[in-house]
Amino acid sequence: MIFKSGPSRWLFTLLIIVTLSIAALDLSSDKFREGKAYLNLVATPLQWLVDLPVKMAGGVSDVVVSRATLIAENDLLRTEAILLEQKVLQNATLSSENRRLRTLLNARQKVEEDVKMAELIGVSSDPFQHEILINRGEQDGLVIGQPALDSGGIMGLVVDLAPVTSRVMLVTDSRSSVPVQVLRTGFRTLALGSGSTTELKLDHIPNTEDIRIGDLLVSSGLGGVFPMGYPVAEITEFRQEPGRSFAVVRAKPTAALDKSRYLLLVQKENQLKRFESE
Amino acid sequence: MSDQTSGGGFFVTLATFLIAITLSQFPLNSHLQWFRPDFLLLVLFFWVIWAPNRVGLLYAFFLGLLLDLMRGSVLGLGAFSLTLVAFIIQLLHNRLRVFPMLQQAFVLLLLVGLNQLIYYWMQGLVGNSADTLLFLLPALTSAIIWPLVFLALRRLARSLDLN
Repeated sequence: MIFKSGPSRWLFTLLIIVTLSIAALDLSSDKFREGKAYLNLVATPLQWLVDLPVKMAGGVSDVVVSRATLIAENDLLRTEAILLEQKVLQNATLSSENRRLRTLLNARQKVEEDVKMAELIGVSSDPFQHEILINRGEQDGLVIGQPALDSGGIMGLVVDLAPVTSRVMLVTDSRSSVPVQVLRTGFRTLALGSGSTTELKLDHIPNTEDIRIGDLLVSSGLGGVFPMGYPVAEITEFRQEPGRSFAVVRAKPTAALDKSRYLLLVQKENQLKRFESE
Repeated sequence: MSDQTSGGGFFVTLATFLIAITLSQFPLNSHLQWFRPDFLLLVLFFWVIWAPNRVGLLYAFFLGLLLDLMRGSVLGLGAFSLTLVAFIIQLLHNRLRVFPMLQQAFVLLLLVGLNQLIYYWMQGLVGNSADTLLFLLPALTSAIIWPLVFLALRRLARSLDLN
């Protein structure tokens, strides 16, 4: 007989109670969640380990890439750099002009944004949870609720912090919603995560609303989480259903949610100050 | 049994669990992801049957917590379902031990299914609801690869003389 008197019911009951109380604490207490950030350190080495093969594969392909490919890539990047520089030149004039016009209008100055770079080190293994893990954390000055972008647009926001890593919830997660504006018309609404990795949905849009396929949705800056004016998604479907009061609207995120390995974390000036004063 | 072998057993067991957790978090393409077997439960199933006096509820509890930290779910949810499943394995232990592999695989199918159901049901309470039953697929794939995992781990356990 292996067990003297069967499996331990006492231990089982105790552990079940402990797990449930931990879960309740995690859901309700902010203090507990701050402590959990340090507990996350335990998982960090394992998370690096999970990412290692992917990183190594990248390293190998860096080493074996041919000279011709490098030269071609170099050429491409150089032309791109020139194009971008030209745009930046325009941008400088435009932004100074914008500032002058804003002072004429007595409008508030636009908040300057500080940007940090982060690298992706993991993807959520749960298909219903669209989250990624990045290699920046509390020690790099990240805060919960901080928006993350890639070169295409808004990716999501930081939802969980550890000292050297953090978790970013993507805009397609079913819990996510981003306040957006149709760039062409200025119509404001919310882009909701649909749970599918390539789709956002817009609820409660009147059948008569002027939205066309291909319209760009940019963040409206309302709600104070996402900075204003970054692309979020492009309308892919606008279907008017005669029997219903609202149209079916779907959009495709402009950020490469499943491809980008590098992302930018935007820090607003006031967020920075709040963090420093703490 | 001498202290040394049980100490070695602890590290080998731990290593298999860590490998299982790593595999369970390894990034997969979004379609393949649905089919990912529940590696942690597979390995736990083996050890609870093979070394019941050593691996049990406490292992399940701490591994569950680690898994929660790794995948960023609410802390305690994974620990809850894993402890529950480990307890069921312990209750069925005497029968499971003499079952042929296919029958073990069938029990495993039910257990992984139960584990998934509890996890997603509780995730649903938190507000992250699942809208398809596809999340039950890992139960099937876990049962399919069980013979493979069982033979590999048994070979490991026998060669190191672990109990």
